[in-house]
Amino acid sequence: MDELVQQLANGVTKGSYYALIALGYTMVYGIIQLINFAHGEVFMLGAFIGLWTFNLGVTAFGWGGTSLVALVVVLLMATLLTPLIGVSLERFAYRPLRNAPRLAPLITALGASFALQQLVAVFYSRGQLAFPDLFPNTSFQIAGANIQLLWVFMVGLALLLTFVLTAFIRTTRLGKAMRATAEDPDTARLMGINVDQIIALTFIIGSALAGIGGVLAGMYLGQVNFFMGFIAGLKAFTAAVLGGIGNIAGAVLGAFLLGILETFGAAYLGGEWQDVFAFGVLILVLVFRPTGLLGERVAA
Amino acid sequence: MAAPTAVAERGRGASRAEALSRLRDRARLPLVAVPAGGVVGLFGSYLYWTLSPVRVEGVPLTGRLADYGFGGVRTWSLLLAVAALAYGVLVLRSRSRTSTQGEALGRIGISLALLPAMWAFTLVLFLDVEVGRLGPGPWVTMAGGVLVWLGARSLQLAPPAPEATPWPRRSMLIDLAVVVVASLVAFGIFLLGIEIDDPGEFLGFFIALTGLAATLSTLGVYKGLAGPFRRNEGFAIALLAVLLLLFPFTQEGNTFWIQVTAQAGLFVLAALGLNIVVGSAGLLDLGYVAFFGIGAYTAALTGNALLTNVNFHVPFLLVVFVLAPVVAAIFGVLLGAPTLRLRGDYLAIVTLGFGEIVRITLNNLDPITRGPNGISSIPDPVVGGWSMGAGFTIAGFEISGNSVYYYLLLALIALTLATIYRLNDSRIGRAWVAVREDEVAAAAMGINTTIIKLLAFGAGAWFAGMSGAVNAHLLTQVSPDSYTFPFSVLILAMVVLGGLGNPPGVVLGAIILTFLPEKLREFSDIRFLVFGFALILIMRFRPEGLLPSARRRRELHATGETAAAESQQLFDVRSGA
Repeated sequence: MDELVQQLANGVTKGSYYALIALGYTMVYGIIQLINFAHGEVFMLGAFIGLWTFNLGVTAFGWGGTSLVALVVVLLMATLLTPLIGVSLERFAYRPLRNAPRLAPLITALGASFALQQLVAVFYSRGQLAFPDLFPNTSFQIAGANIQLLWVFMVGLALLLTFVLTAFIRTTRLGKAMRATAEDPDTARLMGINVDQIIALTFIIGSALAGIGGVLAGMYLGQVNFFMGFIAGLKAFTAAVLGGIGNIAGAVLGAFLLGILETFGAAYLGGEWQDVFAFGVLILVLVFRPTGLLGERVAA
Repeated sequence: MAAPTAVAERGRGASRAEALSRLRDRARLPLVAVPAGGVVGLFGSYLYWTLSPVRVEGVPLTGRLADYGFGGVRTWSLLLAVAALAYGVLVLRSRSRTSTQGEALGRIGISLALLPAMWAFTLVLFLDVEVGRLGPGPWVTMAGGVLVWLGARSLQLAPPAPEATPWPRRSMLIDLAVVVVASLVAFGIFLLGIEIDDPGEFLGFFIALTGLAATLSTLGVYKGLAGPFRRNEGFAIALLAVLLLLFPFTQEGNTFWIQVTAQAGLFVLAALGLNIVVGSAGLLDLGYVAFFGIGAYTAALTGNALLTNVNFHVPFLLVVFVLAPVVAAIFGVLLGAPTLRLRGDYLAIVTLGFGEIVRITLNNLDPITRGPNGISSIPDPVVGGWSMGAGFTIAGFEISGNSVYYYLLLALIALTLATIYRLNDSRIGRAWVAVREDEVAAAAMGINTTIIKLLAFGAGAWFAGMSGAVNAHLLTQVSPDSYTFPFSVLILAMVVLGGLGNPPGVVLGAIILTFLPEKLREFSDIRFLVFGFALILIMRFRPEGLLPSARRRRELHATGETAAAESQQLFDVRSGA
């Protein structure tokens, strides 16, 4: 029983950063039906921007150990800088190809993913880098399981951001414009919506969420490397498909489910099969229920 | 002629992009600037390029760069400058100037500017040369290139040259001579490229070559050459075969480049296979490396390796022609089956996932695959009691073991190409294209899309398995680390660079992307970075690749006005429906 709760807690925590990446996948797919392969890289860059900001802080302000100020600044920097990457991707790699055959943007997305990974590898570091413990390292017991405060924070933040995002899309003018663009870009354009700007906005929001996810994952895993975005991105995509791509609630549900399934799979089948397990889920979902658990909804 | 449209545009309120493009159109000098730029480039090539000799790990780079004179990288900027000068004077003197000539001159100008720029960029960024230590040569040459480019733009309003056509037949002798000369020049350039050891000089050589090739393409020389080559197809193929067979004899006992060429042959095989899946059938397979790996492991497990857990031997020829391809094809069909109902982009992700699954499985199945250690000390294959690695002597020439692999791969590629051409013209090949273009319509025409797609997966995997099996013996070892996602991307980049769907293009792409990294080893760190950007740039500016199939070119790059109008109409009709 203790073991079960422990695994559940681990899985939910993992699911929280999968969810933050999956939201970006699902939003972009919902609006332009493109799998943004490079989205996992934005997540990775979020983690590296966090690390870079922290190192700057260490030299400039003498940050060290856990510090709430450092945490807030690091999260803010990741939130502010990752959208730049997302928007440039959209502007230079995807927008020029919006009317090209579908294979073309997929290949540029792949190239962009590769280029971003290698940019970090060549100009920053190829190695495993330790990520600082920005969050107080305290834990408590629930039902015999050891739960860290960081985990609660991660899950809470992910849920909060999902809630804010949903409210934004449901209630604001821009959110309405996003829904209209997802429904039918041509008609949306006729209604006076600047479709290009709305698509850029989608990339901005998705990237910011992935950036936050990157910092959280960095703290959770304790280390970052330049290819961390590849597998994480694939899993987040799996989560988005599992929940029903284009569907925001679905992406979050799928992410938590996948996190839990994966932790249990790893615990009972052996850790080395963990990734196989996640891809297996993806394939099974696509074969037996390609619309996902909550169904595809193009408009959020 | 251009005035009314410009006014109309302004009246509509030109956007910033339009204003920019107008500005770009206006940036030009009189045509005299072209030969003048050529002279400046010539002068720049003669000046010294660095203030003191540059050394990479103690080896001096590009010869006597700290001196006046030619040689090293400056040979190649000289070549471009002379081309600009000579062709510039020719165009200046001709009565009927065309915008096509301007475009060709512009390409020479761009490469003349790009060559010193890239050279300087590489030196500063990767060899830690300070900008201050560069001599005046690169800057002057760059200025010459820009001058040529600006001068060439003066022709942009001239009427375009009539579309190039294949050169007509004058006499059998001229036809054959053209074929022989063109083939020998191509072969000579290849040998020359191998000869150039210095990475800096090779960069110059490569840029000059690319620039001149692009220029010739603009002038329609390739279309013209197609005439004699097509009329004498059998002769051309025989000539090519002779040249390829002679290649090992040109290496004077040095086996390194034969080994690299053999490696290129492996990639050609694999890329041709992937081209069936992605190019012909339009299924983006990102886990292709899995089949290559499966073929390699099949050969390794049955190849009498020293360090293996399985001692089970199957004769090499049986493995290469039957066992490895069949096993890979079975996996191709098995892994392809669940993805059949998926849309293109889902398919990409799922195949990627499969690629990873296969790699992780190879990594974890210790009792059979020896896990992360892989299988090593795989001996050279023995065919009829004779070991391929031993080589042999023929007419006083010693054929090394590497050359035997090279010849084996030549044979395999010839066989594969023949198979693929026959397949493409067959019912199956036409069905692949139909499925790629419009699956629903294809199904409505009675094509069984399930079987057709499975056949594409199977055929693609077949050639990957074959290639992997030879690879295991050539490298004498296999390990899961060799079959990772970047490898899939590399092969995809070969296909895309060469020309999706066009076998000769794919061959070219595979050769370029094997030799280039080998030549630029000093910069191997950034290899994958360059691949990533290259994929984006190719898709953006030349989505049909270097040697496109005629059909693809029309589809992806409708530059001709009629083609653009046509495709626009088609698009409108469809989206309106």
